Amino acid sequence: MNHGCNEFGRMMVSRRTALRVSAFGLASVLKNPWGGAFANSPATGNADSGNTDTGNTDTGDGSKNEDRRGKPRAKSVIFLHQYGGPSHIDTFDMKPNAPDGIRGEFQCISSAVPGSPVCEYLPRWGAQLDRWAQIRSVHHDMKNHNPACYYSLTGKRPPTDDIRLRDTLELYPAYGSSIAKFLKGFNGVPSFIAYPHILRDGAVSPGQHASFLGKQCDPYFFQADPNSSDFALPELQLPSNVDLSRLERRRDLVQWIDREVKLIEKSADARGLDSLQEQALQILSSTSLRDAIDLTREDSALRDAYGRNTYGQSCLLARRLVEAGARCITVYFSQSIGGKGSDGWDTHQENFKDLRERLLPATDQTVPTLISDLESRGLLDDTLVLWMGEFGRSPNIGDRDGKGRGHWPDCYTVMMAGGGVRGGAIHGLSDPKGAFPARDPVGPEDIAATLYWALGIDPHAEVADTQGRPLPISTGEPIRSIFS
Amino acid sequence: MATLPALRSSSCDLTQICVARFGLIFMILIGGVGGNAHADPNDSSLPAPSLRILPSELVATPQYPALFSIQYCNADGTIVDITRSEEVTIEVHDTDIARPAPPKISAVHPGTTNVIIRYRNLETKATFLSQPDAPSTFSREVMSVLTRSGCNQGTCHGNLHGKGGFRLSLRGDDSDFDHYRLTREYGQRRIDPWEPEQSLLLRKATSQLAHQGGARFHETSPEFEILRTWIAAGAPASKSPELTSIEVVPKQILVSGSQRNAQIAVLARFHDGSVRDVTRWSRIEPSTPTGIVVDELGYITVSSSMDVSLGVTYLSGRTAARIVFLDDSKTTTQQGEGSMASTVSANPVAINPIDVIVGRQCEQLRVPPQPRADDWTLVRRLFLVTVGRLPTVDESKAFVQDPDQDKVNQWVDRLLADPDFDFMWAMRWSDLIRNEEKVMSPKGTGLLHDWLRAQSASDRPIREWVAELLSSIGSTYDNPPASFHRTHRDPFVAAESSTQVFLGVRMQCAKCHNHPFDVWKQDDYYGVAAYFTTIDRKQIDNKPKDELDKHIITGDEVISLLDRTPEIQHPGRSRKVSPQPLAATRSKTTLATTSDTPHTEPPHTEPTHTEPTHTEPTHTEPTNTEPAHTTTVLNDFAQWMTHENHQFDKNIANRIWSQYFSRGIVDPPDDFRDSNPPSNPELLDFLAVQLKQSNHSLKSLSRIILTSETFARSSDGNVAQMISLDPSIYFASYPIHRLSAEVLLDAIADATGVHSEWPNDSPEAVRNTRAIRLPGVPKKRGFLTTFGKPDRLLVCECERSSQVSLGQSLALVNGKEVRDKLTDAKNRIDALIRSERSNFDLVEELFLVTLCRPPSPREMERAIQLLDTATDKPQSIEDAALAITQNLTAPLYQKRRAMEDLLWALLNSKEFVMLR
Repeated sequence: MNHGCNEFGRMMVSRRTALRVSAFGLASVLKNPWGGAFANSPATGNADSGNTDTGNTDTGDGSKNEDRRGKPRAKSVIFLHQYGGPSHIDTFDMKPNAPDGIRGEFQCISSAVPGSPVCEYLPRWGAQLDRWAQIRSVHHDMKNHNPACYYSLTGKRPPTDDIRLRDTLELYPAYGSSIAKFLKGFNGVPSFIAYPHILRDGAVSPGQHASFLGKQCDPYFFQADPNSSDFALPELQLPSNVDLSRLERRRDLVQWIDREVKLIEKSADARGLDSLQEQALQILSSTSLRDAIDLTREDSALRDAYGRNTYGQSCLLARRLVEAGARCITVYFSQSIGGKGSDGWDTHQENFKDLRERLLPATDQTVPTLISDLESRGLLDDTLVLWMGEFGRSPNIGDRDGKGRGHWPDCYTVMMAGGGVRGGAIHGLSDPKGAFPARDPVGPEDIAATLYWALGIDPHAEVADTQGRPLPISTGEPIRSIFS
Repeated sequence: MATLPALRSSSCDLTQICVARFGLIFMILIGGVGGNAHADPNDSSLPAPSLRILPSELVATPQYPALFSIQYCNADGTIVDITRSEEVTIEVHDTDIARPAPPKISAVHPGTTNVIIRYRNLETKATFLSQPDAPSTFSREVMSVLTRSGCNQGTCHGNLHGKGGFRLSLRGDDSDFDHYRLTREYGQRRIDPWEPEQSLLLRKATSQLAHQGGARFHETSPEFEILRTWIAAGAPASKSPELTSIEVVPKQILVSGSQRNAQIAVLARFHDGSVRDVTRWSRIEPSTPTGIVVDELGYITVSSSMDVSLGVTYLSGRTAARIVFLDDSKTTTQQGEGSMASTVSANPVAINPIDVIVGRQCEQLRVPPQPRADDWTLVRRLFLVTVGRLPTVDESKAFVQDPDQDKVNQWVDRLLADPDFDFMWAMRWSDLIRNEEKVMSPKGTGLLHDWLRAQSASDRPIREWVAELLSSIGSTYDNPPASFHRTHRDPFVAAESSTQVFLGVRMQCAKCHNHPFDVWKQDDYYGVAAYFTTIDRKQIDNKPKDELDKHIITGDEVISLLDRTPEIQHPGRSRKVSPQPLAATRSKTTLATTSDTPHTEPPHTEPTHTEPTHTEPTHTEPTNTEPAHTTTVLNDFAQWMTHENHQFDKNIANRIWSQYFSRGIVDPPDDFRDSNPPSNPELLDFLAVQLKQSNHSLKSLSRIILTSETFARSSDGNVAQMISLDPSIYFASYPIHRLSAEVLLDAIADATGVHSEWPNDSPEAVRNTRAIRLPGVPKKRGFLTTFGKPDRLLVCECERSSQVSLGQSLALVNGKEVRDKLTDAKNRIDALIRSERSNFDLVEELFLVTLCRPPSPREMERAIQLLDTATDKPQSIEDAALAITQNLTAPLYQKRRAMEDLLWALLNSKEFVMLR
């Protein structure tokens, strides 16, 4: 029986963590979906990390929920990543009183959270804002897309702000890969699934795979478009003349042959391929994943509600994958940074036109639908949803064509919902121009820590890099004030 | 670009040891001694342990004390750094001139004296030159503080946008700019000459005021004192003589022993002839960020054995040192024994210099070379790397049974003449010069692919056809090499691509600023880009489906040169820049390259590069090319790039090597820079010279590589864990690598006996049933994309992925390609089960067509049992119907299913998917 990443993890992490990890591995082997597993997860026994909250300025309703407060309860995460860098000032951190060159063209409308207006082109999301927590003081120091993207996908500061930051195994793993290392997917479903684009800006952006955690923790990744009429992943369906006993016979034979030359001992790639092969065989032995992929099983009206486009159907698929048992589903909005006339959020030109006509309408259709869909199925409390990009956009208008906003890592907003997040919470504030954090600044490290913590993974759990050195999966602190 | 450096001290010179060892090896070779090749420790040809100090001429001023490395040199060429050992005594002859202040020696009064170093019973000497200090200046002292402290890094104030409103030139590129920013911007708010300590600059840098970059230095540090003094003096824009070069010592050493330390020292030479020890003021950045600590004085401590290069920056100077910390658990003498024997004993007839060079490094690094792989493994490897396919059953058997001692040579000759050898190289070059249908059109893609293939088929000198590729103009349909300027559509892209593909260097950074980690300056970048500024492109019959997509060109395109002066606007200069080759390689170029210089042919007897060659059998004669005798600006560029350009030769040689080892000597192959040195510099130089001497013949160099013992080594020395001195990096063990997408798909097709099919929209669909022969990038390419076939949108080697993924496993376990080929009614299994051959034969054949070796007894036993006990019945109505239409009786049906399972298992075995 393959234990996937847990097996791998057992060799690397400290003995104490190892005991917890293997206990959890056992729980998932016993096919105990949802229930029970968290009693053994890495974070719960870890009271020491519970008292190190970063500047908690929110007042929270601690008294009533004393016992639940601070207890992680998400089982899965849907990570929505908008490459290019969405403008914070034109979406959730509106600055109606800022001067002309900063304020922007958009009007504020009131939202479900009193005192927290949103952009006029996000009416549906605004009406639902009381499901969301806003972190308005996220900042870092990477001005280029590739390093900033890596930072946003891993929570690890890149060694350099080099536009062509090289994707080496010294760099950190994607969030989903770290999650996959500690949490197995349920029902043989891969823990980490990512689609439908490979992010690149000149070169493939680092942070989209398992890096030094090894191929076992790589995402199950596909580029097929969930919105296309013939969307399917045929490799998930066994042919009619191969039943499970025949598959078992084949597995036995291949193991017999692999023992002859023992490449698995000699090559990291061969070893990776071997454990991936095992995982593939497990996936084929169950039906949950391939049913989840079949979007035609979904109600057509709901498909319309999500939006009949790649992003909309990708988000719908994310919900189905949560139900199937995946732990981290990463949906990339676009494959490139884009900008005007292309597909991403890099609005150096025509910032307002592009947001108004293309980016915000699609977002406002899809994301609120995802939340209400999760909620109506009783999944929202178990599922943490993150919406963010690699940075925000400059308060000063006037980039390039005079109508754009430039890159702005110094302050931007990250949105979280579900998974125990306290709706309406706001952590941190930006200054009056939206240029720098005015209160409770947090870094991508803290976003990473929050994500891991919400899933019950000790944010400081150690993993081994390629040299066998222990590294914490995050150096940040979870933002616990936004959880109820 | 370093070769083994000539070290300054003669007492235990590495090169000298090499020579001594080299001689020894040859004696053994000639004598044909196979067994104990280990040198006798008492052999008088080896130097005794000695002591060395680097640099051997110490230079210091009161402000710049001398740092140095004291090395205990073992007889085997390794050293132990004892700079900070308590047993070392340092005696200065005249203490009025210098005074030891371990680990430094300080200057007291000007003069010259001697320094004597003693360690146990050994001693060594160095001269010490004490000079007076020159006045501290902005351009030297202040600027070096800014760089050393990291203030002007790209992530901090060196960023294009600065940081917190304060911007400096990247890594101190431009001291005038920085002086302005520090002293003038925002009403001089950053400095305060009346109260220097209160200057914003100092309060931020010492973190007295909130500073996002944290404290860069302390109030008691020399950095603080330099800045304070400068500010107190009124912050003058004072200048020291310009820096002419920097040097790091030791440049390259092998460190043994359990104390994993090494001291490096950096010397800077200035235009007035003065020299300073600037170790304390250089930025030293290791290639591996983890497991290594470099202290303030350049003293390095590592946690385990490793091969590390250290990039050194001082002012505008860039250099690098390479230090190999050997694995202390292995001793030289023990490792030496078996290893040298296996290096040379197998083929005493012809000595391949590659093996001598690799063997020598293996011995130095104490990495034992693997013995020769068995013939089954070797023949599979030979075929896969040269012609991209598995050997047939007959070929494998013929090779193994061939008793000729010289058989590898003969088989290599055969393979080099095989058309698929040319297809493999056409594929590699097509990847690199971005031969894909969108920009090139399907027809153009095919024509360029044919042309590339023809260059390999005729073994035309590589420098010759590269020159033609870079300089051709005209219709890309009539004259396919003109396509280079079709796929690289602006001066910047052409500059970046041509230098990356043909010189193996990455210049992109230098577009906006001098390269932060390499020698390339912005002037270099624009100088190269200027060559491409007069290119004009006219599209004939361009009808893209999506008119907004400017990347699609459907018809022919005619490349021509406009009649105007090639020049380009340099962002940092007022005047436009004319074409200029790269400064760093200019000194190695013999021909003048400005366009007004008449071109004469070089004095040796090579064919001229401008003459169109007539080796191409398929394409029509160019109709639109320039007459051969006129030279254009592109000819100038091509001439500089390809003629007497050692970097070109090294890059091409490295690419050829990497084709056969799946790993470059410089790796990745397109990332030559000081801080990413070749794993074996001597080997790379040898190959580059060899390439040149063979008139840039691909096949000659390939022959030398493929017939070496190094190529034939077993891969058994590889280990799955990352280890510090990985034997495959030094080619002591053949690197294990996943088959590339195309080769893997073809191997599956050959093994199953079912060809792959390509969509009909490719004009080449009929003849290109093999994936390695595809000219471009087919639209529907699921399997190939899954396994990493590049889209050809980048010139980077990195675009072709060799990683493994779950998608790949699913494709092999249950993907359409494998499934269809496995169940095809007319595949190899069908033929086998209908033959009269025994089960034993059938099993053996399946092993031979996949793993290219016979099954072991235990494998055979298991497989026979599988075939003998097959009792499967049809599982579905479709299945049963299929059995009937294919005329399968029950026993045949059962045998077929068992054979399918066995073949499935073979295709999914790691041994099949990997090249080993």
